[in-house]
Amino acid sequence: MNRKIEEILKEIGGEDVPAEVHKIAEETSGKFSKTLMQSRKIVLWENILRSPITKVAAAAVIIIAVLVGIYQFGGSIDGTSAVFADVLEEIYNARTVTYKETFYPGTEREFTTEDMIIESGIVRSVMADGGVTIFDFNGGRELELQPASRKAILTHRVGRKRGKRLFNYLTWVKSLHEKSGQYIGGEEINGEMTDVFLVDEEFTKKTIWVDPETNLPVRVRVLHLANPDNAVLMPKMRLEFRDFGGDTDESMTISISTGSGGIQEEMTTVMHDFVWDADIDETLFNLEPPEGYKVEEKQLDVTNRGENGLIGALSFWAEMSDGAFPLVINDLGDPNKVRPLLNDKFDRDGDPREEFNNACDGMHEILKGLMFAQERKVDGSWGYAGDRVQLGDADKPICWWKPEGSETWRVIYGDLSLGDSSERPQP
Amino acid sequence: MKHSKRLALFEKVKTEYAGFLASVLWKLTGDKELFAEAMQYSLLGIWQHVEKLNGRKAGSYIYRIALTANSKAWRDRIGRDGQISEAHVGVDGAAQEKIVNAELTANVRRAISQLSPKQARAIVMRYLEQQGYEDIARNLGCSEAGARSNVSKALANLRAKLGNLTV
Repeated sequence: MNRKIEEILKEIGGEDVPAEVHKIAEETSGKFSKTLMQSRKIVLWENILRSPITKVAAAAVIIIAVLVGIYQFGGSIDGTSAVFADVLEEIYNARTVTYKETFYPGTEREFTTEDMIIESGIVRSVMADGGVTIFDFNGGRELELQPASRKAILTHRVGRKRGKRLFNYLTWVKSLHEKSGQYIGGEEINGEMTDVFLVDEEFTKKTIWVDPETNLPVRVRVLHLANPDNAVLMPKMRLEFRDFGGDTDESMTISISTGSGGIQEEMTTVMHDFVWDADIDETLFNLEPPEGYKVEEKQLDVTNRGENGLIGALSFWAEMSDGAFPLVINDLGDPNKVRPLLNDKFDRDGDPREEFNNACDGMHEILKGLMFAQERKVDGSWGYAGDRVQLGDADKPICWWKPEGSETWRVIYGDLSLGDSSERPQP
Repeated sequence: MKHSKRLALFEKVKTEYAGFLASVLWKLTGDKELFAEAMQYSLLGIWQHVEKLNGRKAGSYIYRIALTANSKAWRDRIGRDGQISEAHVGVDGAAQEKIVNAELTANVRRAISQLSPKQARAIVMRYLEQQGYEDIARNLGCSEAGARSNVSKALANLRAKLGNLTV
């Protein structure tokens, strides 16, 4: 007997739903609803990943340091299948956010930026003076707009390390147990009750106030603690365009931070006035300079040159100091000492723009070299004796450190060669 | 939309379409495990698109969600072992004829999951839900002639996938 498809279809159509299947439907449906209504603060907020980045912003600044963001994690949930995990991601997936960020930089005056982030992870930041900076971290590009002077600076970051995963402030991911936020209680903010969480790390303490209904932050305070070891310095320096013959008040400030070694001065940032999932005009994140703006395009080498960067910094110093090296390594971060050297090298009464840009590149390389040394200090293996060495002293060590897991010491000698020593150098 | 509002709308839609979902998904899957998975995907789809389910076209959206959920569940099942085993046809009893029939039925269900959304909806509404062409046309957003055409094409596709079914 041939059974036609239509017959089979009609048979299927005539089937009643067994009682057992109704029960499965009810149970599945009930579990799903329970997931949606579950107290997310306990399930989800027990694990909050702390972003390892810190943002420092000021007018007309190019920000090298990384940004603090909040990653929120959906905790894994007992479910009958991976579909429940998808549910959590879908439920808690914010598409956009706008907020204000106020910086309280120790002894300097506070300032506020207005920030927006869209789903692709691009950040738009508006400064108090109206300047706009758009960051595309994954694309390695940054557009700075100065509306007053109708100037646009497009910077391409080269040499950046690609992560395994796209970097996205808004990415909601599953909980990571090793980086936990602790629920510390409830607090009323602007008449609404919030859940409060604390993320406590060695050099940063984050307090996050969360709307229990949406499970999204309404306020975030980050306290950046000073490193009690005053010898550890966060490299930061500024150059003025006028110092190279320029005729405007333009400046370039570079600061480098990885959050791993702390800073010299305590600083607080507060993110507030959050608006989640607002409709945002995506053209505001366009990295094409607007019409009518004078465009300057540049490259910024963010390669971590490691020990070679430090050699480069020491080489520059010795070149400009008749063969002498810094008395202490932190001199590389002292603007009173470095700026004159940069001026001497690059200010030749030529094209101010070109000279200023070259000096800024030089400053950046010096600070990167200094950053390498600071990280070795945090490691605890750093040693320096450059005050007793002249350029060319091939047998005298300028500085040394022990790489992680290594049995030997890395040494930079007076002739700027790099070698290995089985014993800690004794200058 | 605030989470609480979303939740309320979701619960309303879920209650309204619970019976329909159970009926359609059971007819499409015929297997408890597959049914549970398709149900989960359906609920997720309803949650994701809940803002659209508050009007006249809710029924049409729910159909689409159910058929997509069914396809996903079948894809997961077929992906795991490449074919439908006897253990998965949800059959009680050991009678050979029953087993063979059940296998054929499972093949038909599987083939439905691989139809285009419009043809799948046409077949489900006509044969599984036993709806008239007028209702099918309204749901598909076409004329009655168009509805008949979709059903015929769907059948032709199923025949092509399954060949002549014999016992």
